[in-house]
Amino acid sequence: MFSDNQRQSWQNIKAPDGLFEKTAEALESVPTPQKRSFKRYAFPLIAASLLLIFASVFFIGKSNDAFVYVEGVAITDESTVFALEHLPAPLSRSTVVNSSITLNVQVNSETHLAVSDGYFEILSENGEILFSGEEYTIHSDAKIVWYYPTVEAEHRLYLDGKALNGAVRLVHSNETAERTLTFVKN
Amino acid sequence: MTENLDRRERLNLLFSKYSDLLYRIALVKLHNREDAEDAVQDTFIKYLSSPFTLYSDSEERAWLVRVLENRCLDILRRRSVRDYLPIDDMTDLATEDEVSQGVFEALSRLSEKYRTVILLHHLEGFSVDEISKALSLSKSAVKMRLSRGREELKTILEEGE
Repeated sequence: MFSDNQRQSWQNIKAPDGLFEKTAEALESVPTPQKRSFKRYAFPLIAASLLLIFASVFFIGKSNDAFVYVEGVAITDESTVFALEHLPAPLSRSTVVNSSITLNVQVNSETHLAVSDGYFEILSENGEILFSGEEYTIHSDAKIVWYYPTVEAEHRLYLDGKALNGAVRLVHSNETAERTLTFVKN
Repeated sequence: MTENLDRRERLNLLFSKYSDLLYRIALVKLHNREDAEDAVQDTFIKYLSSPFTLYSDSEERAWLVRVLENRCLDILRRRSVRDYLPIDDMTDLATEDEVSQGVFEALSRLSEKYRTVILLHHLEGFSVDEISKALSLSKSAVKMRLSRGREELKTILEEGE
């Protein structure tokens, strides 16, 4: 692959001298993050932990349920139909996309997401894009926007996790202005 | 004031450890010195503005690369077509050194999908596990990209000889 000489030369590329000062100046205008004191958070933490234990006991045995939601509706092995809304999709990526759908993925273990077509973005609570691409592994619940091309009618979002293992099948129809979502278990 | 000093010291430490690495990655992804500087700066600020702590150097490095990747993606998304710099015009951006220019050009000709994993593994010494964490890919996906990327890079390097 690369020779030692090439690696050495590569390592000689350094960040510009002024970058540290520039970053330090910019950092001064950013508020200092809140330091979390244990005492302040102890009670809510204990309460949340207890709640989690109760919830885990309550939901035990139901771990095979689908935890993908669209507009608050759980996607199961029975097809669910949603009215089509043409949402503008970003044009900057090379993949041609002309529709999108927002899904909330609830997981309780590490789950790998991958799409058959297009790409997806993972959004934070305040709408910031945390990830954009074709595959990603999540460790907690995630809100995703999936951009897909409508030249093909059928698309899949693959989910590979302990509790959530299968694919969301999306059938897009411009004729009926609908899209149908079904969870297909592996 | 003390907090600012503290943050400046933390920045100093982080900067001495990771600034060159992050700058090289950003340069390959963005082909533009100013954008690469902005991406590196934003990455450090995001890290120092977060209330959480990472426990190992490996986790820290992977986290910084992941944030940088996303930041580069944002910059590319916002960049208009006229800002695009063809490869032929940008080989002298990285360095005066002919050898690293050759590496830079080879990486730039590599498919986007393989570029970062090849760069991290073969030039920056990341393990498969670290790349997996940094790019949120499974280890098998990293290995597959490395294998296919090597094949493609081999062809590029042979063409260049």
